[in-house]
Amino acid sequence: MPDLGRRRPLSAQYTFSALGTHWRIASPNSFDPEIRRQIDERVADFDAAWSRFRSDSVVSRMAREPGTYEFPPEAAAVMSLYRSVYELTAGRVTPLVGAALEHLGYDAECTLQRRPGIRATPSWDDALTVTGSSITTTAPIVLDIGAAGKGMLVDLVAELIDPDHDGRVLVDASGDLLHRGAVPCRVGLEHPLDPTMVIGVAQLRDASLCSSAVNRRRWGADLHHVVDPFTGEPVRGTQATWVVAENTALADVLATALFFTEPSVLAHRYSFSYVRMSDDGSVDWSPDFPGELFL
Amino acid sequence: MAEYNSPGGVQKVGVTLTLAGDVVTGSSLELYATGIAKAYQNLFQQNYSPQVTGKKIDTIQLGAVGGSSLTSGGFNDALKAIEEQAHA
Repeated sequence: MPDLGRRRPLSAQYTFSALGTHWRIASPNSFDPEIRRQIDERVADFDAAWSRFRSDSVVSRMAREPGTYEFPPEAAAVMSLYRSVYELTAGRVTPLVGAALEHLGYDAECTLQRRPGIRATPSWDDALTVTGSSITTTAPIVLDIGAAGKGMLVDLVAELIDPDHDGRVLVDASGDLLHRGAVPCRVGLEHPLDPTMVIGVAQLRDASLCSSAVNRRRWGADLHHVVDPFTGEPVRGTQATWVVAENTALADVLATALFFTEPSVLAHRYSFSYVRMSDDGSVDWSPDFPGELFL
Repeated sequence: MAEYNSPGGVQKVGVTLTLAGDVVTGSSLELYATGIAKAYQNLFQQNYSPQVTGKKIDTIQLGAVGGSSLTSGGFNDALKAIEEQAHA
């Protein structure tokens, strides 16, 4: 990684699996056992609360019976971010899309078998009451924070990294990234149709970059994981988005929101830059996107 | 390079096309406007939707790659099983 830091390389790496994918943290400082333990614990706590893919998680209990459930402290921030983007997208980015995802086959058992018919997604105010980090439901609910969860965990893990020396760090959660430090990191934007190619390079500095694309988490000809709650079907029109924002949870959720909403609408509330690639292969981007595109 | 008259004077805009044979395989815009025209050119750039051509990942130096997350072992196994069923 010659371009991660000119003075002292981000030579220390800690790699692990979390949320079903590969993670890599790079820092100029070595990761002592205590830091590793804290990271592992943070990841485990997050997974135990939010994973749709394990039967003992809080969200799995919530899917079985209604009630009031206590989540880890990040719940307040996650749900408040979701609520804000829910409103900006007129309800199309919602943590209540979980049942529709399961209905299409993306369920805890990974059946990847679509059920007949369409599964409706309930409206937020009918389904959820959020008070701080506790969530109350009146019916069984499949809560899915997939649009912001991984980004949130990236931010939480980054907080644990010792900020001494020059404070540089790179957290790479399999394509969702957080960078801290003065020397930018060159981040390739993976081509959604060909993982051996990139469509551009972002210069990521003291910011986060998240991508959402429908090339992976795809099963069957028309089925992928970005589902429109209004139709119960995977959304069409966009095949990949990249967002740079000040934190990873925000970049993550905006990358999904761009599948449903024009950037100008999201820009009313949030500061971010983006690249978006349509199904027909054309791209649009914000003039302030930090990097270049290979057009 | 092209020039046009705006209420704020003569403005310039550059378009570079990449050709392979007789086929346009790439394009890019260079904006040179000043004053209010600059905002309009930025708006034009935002609405200009060229096709991406891309570059091979091993020809450039990168610190990381931003893309969709790799899928879990469980997902991949299920997908493989479905494909095998379809071909059985």
